[in-house]
Amino acid sequence: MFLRLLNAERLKLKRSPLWLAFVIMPVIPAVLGTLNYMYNIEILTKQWLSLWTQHTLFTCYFFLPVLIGIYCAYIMNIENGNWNKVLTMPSSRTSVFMAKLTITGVMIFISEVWIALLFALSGRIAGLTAPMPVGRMAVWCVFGTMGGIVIAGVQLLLSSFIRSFALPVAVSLCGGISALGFISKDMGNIWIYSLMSYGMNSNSPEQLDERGYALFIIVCMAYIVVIAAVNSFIFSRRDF
Amino acid sequence: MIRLLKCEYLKTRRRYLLLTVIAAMTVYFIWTFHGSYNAEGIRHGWALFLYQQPVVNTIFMPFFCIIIASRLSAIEHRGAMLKQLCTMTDKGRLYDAKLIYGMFLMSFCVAVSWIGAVLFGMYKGYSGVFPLGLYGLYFIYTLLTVLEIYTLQHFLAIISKNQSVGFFVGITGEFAGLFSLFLPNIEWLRKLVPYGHFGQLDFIGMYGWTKTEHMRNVYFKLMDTENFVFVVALLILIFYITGRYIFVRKEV
Repeated sequence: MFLRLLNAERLKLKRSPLWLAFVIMPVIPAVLGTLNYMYNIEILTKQWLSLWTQHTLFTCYFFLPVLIGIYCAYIMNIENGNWNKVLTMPSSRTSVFMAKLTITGVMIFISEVWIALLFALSGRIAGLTAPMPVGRMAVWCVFGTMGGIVIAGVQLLLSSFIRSFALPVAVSLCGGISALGFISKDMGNIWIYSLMSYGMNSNSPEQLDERGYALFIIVCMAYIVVIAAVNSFIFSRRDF
Repeated sequence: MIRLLKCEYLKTRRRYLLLTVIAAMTVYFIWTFHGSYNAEGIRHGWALFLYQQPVVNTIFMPFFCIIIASRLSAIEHRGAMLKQLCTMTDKGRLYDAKLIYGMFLMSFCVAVSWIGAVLFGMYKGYSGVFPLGLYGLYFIYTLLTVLEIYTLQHFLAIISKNQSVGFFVGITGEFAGLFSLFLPNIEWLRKLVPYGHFGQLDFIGMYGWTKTEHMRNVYFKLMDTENFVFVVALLILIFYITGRYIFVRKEV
């Protein structure tokens, strides 16, 4: 049943131009971040790591959280006026929510892979001589996706309550900005909106490696479980 | 027109639009004024604010424009209200009323941010006399850029039922505009992207900053940006005329 729900979500997004933003947006930091790196090559000396911060710094704090916010608002908004039909399907309300969360997670993962591909290409164009940190890149992408899924969970929950399209997106921007504060106070691995930038190591590429991966995975998993439980509790008691 | 504007106000009553603006401005102020101010920062306070603020404005102001334009247009798209409204009033006038109402809210944002900056500077005790002329210029430049972006976002929000379109165009433009501020070598990019015009109209340049000495030998110089103001004003007009023309001819 869950696979059918996933397929239904996929169909709802078919021919929607939404995925285009996930494709186009990472191209901007890839091009402009690489140019910035090349103009400041004497200050940015860590080769691939320096280039990574140029590609992901603004992306993680401002634009990916906002994109996730828009995406979640969109997939919740298409159900407005349709909830009664959706909820009469022989599937639990939690499954409906989890299907939406999963499809958002897939979208985030695809954009992470796209960011990594552009990063690799940019590094080659910039003429970096050091070997490409493929292993680290894979970790950053997977952890970035995990952090992104946590944000998506909260945003989906918000979007199901707030019928306005714009307000949940505004919350995601505020969340992204608040991440800066939490990361600067060394609490990037606990605050919901900083998990993605922390996982992607956008601020300091050595940060996550030093702290270890286990804590990050545990925190993300705990958040996902709590969000699913809260959603299940609220959805089962709510009239649409 | 007054009646239409009153209708816009009534439609947004109890929709927490003003609350949204206030909440957004709170985040803006926290970002702007957060941090410790050393003696050099206080000494150059008035000029430093004018130098730094275009970056903050590039992050926040386009986003406020996107949200307000979307909120005002979504009211009509939901429930196909445009079909009814266009039987009662001229489409062009409706477009104008919504634009004026949104512009008023955005002007309120800019005015509050300006007053906040001045009061904060006085509270912190920035050195020297308050440069009213320069701050007046900053207010006009910021307002013009905000109105330019708002006119564009208003068009995107009202023309497309899918509000995500306006959001994506706006966010992508904002992203390009923000990056363009860090690439002084590519001036054409900053000129090309309306969302980066805050930086293009930044009329104060900072010189003498070094990694070791920091701001010890810093000085500020005025830069010539006067000609570009006319470009921004012209773009407002172009966005308005084009947007209105397309909306009037579009089936709602």
